[in-house]
Amino acid sequence: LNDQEQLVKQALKGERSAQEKLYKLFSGKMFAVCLRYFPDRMEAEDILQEGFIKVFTHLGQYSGSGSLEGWIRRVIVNTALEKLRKKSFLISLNDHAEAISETSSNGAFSTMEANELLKLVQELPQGYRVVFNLYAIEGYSHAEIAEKLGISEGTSKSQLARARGTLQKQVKELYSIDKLKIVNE
Amino acid sequence: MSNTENLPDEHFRNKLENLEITPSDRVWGGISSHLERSAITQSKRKVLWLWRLSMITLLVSLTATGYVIFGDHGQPEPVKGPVADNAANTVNGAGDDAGKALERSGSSAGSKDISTSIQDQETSSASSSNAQVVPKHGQSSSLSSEIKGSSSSNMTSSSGEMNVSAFSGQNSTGTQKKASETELYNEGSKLPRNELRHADPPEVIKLVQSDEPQADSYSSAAKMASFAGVTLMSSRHLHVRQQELASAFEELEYEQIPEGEVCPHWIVGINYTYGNTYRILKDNSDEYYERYPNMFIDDHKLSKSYYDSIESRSTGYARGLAVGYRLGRLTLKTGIEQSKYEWETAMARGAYQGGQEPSFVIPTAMSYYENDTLGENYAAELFIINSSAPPQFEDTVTLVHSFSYTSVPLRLSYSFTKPCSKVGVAVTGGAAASFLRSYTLTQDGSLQAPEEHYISKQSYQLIAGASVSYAPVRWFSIEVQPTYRRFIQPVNRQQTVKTYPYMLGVQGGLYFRF
Repeated sequence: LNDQEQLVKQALKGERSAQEKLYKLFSGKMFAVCLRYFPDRMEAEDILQEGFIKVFTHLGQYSGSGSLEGWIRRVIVNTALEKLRKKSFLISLNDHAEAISETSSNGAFSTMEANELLKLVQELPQGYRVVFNLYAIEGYSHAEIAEKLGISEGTSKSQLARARGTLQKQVKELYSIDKLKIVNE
Repeated sequence: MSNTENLPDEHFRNKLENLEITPSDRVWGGISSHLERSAITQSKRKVLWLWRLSMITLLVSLTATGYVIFGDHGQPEPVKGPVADNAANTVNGAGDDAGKALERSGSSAGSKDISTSIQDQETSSASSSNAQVVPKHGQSSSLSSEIKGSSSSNMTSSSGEMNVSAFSGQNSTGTQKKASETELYNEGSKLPRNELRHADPPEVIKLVQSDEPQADSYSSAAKMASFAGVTLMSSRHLHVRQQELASAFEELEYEQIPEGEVCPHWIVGINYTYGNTYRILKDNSDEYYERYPNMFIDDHKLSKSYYDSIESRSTGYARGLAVGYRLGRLTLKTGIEQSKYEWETAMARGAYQGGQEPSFVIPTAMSYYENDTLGENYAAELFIINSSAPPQFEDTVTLVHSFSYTSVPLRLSYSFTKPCSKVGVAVTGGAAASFLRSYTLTQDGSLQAPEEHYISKQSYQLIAGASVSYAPVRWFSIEVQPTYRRFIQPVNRQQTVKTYPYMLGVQGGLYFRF
């Protein structure tokens, strides 16, 4: 932790080597965050770049009281949301209005690897994906999500429910295909 | 619902929260180049801001100077009232309204002098207290008053005796006053100038010379100061601070003091500074080596003995012209200065470790002194290690770096105390621009290709300072001037090591006026 504080101090002075070390320390995790919002790798890298530029430009605002990783993650997520706003993704929030019933597939989820889960998230429609990411992984409340995305809490809840339903459906399909494969083999 | 709601979320959170995927190298490349551009832009903005500030200061000062020199200062008309109304009457001694003590002539133009002596007035009234006698340019007649021991008049000076004279532009009506007028005037003019300057003018009567227009009445004074001070110069090279002590400083100033005032308006000065320092870098070598144990130059790892081996000595001088103008409590000074500085370095060759072929490095270094007529002595230093030259096997190599600069300082002082009073306290702020005129490098007596590439052609500094002075007598004063000066842009062009020298100095000096 002391090393991180030292790095932050040096980065604040504009020392490029310290900035690079900070980047290397957190870029892996933050890139995974970006990929959850933007499945396209190039687009995710753009968000990562833009986000880290903001991190270094506004590093002085980091108070040092909370976790540095948490602060950087918030900056990256906000950068991603900004980008989505520019792309008018909210239009797609009300798409896919078909009701998807939630059924339990938790056993299947627990056996899946992180990369497989990421792929499932990336395959979600954009509106579902954003709300699911913010609620399930980043830990925002529906009220916070509603404020961030400019939607109602009800919309946030319904998007989340649909996201879950879609994920479970996808897992079921995946597993049934796998089972079929096993049977055929 | 509640059972199923959180479970998939937790799986995703647990597994995705700490997932790491390495991005391509282009991301850091983009971030790095953006930050670099941003830093350059910020630096340019700072310089632009400084230029704007300098231009505004210059414009304001020029406007103020122009106003003082060419402007119509709106000399107030003689006060009408009891004094003016009774001006035709001349009263010598106590008794009537003191306004009568001042004589006012008729309306026709003339050139007779009027003087009035008021002695032992017991009943000086408000009308005399409020009397304002002011000069008028281009008029030849005048009025003089001498007031002695006036017990209740506001005209009484702190010394109990003062000389008051003014232009009235009106004729005398009483010829019997001629004798006393001349006598009093002569007596007044015999007073030493110093007494005149130190006399506290009453608030209601302006103290002016009697028979010359005020604007043309100047006396001159030369001021010489010899400063011996301690200047702590610091620069950060590789995050290690180096310090030196300097120097000697002398200055000569010429002042014009309007007659009847105690403070000069115009100040013209020349100054000359000579500095000589000697430094052995090994004082800092431990710190250097601990902090940067793996410093390489041309694949040679620098050893501690390399730093130990460096000795340097420097000589420099600066000379300049300065001009200042004081307007009330504000003083603006500017000028032009030339400085030259030579830095001689001797170091051992082959001081690397690791069994490499002996070689040596040329530390491309720059230092210079700069000073101005405010008595500030300034030095900045840049130390850049640059590798060149073929292997040599002599014991030592001597390098001489020579720098010449032209500088233009601009500074504004504000005095918290009454200007030119016994005790003076003032603060100063300003900026300076320095321009590199030439740089040469000599190695063992032969001229080398200059490494000018590493040195910025221009540099800008901000100045903040204060001064405290004490003048027990008019011709002598003691001054202490703490000053801080800092570069606001690097003096070198290197991207990796940027040097922002700064100086914190305290000069103490003695001033003699003659």
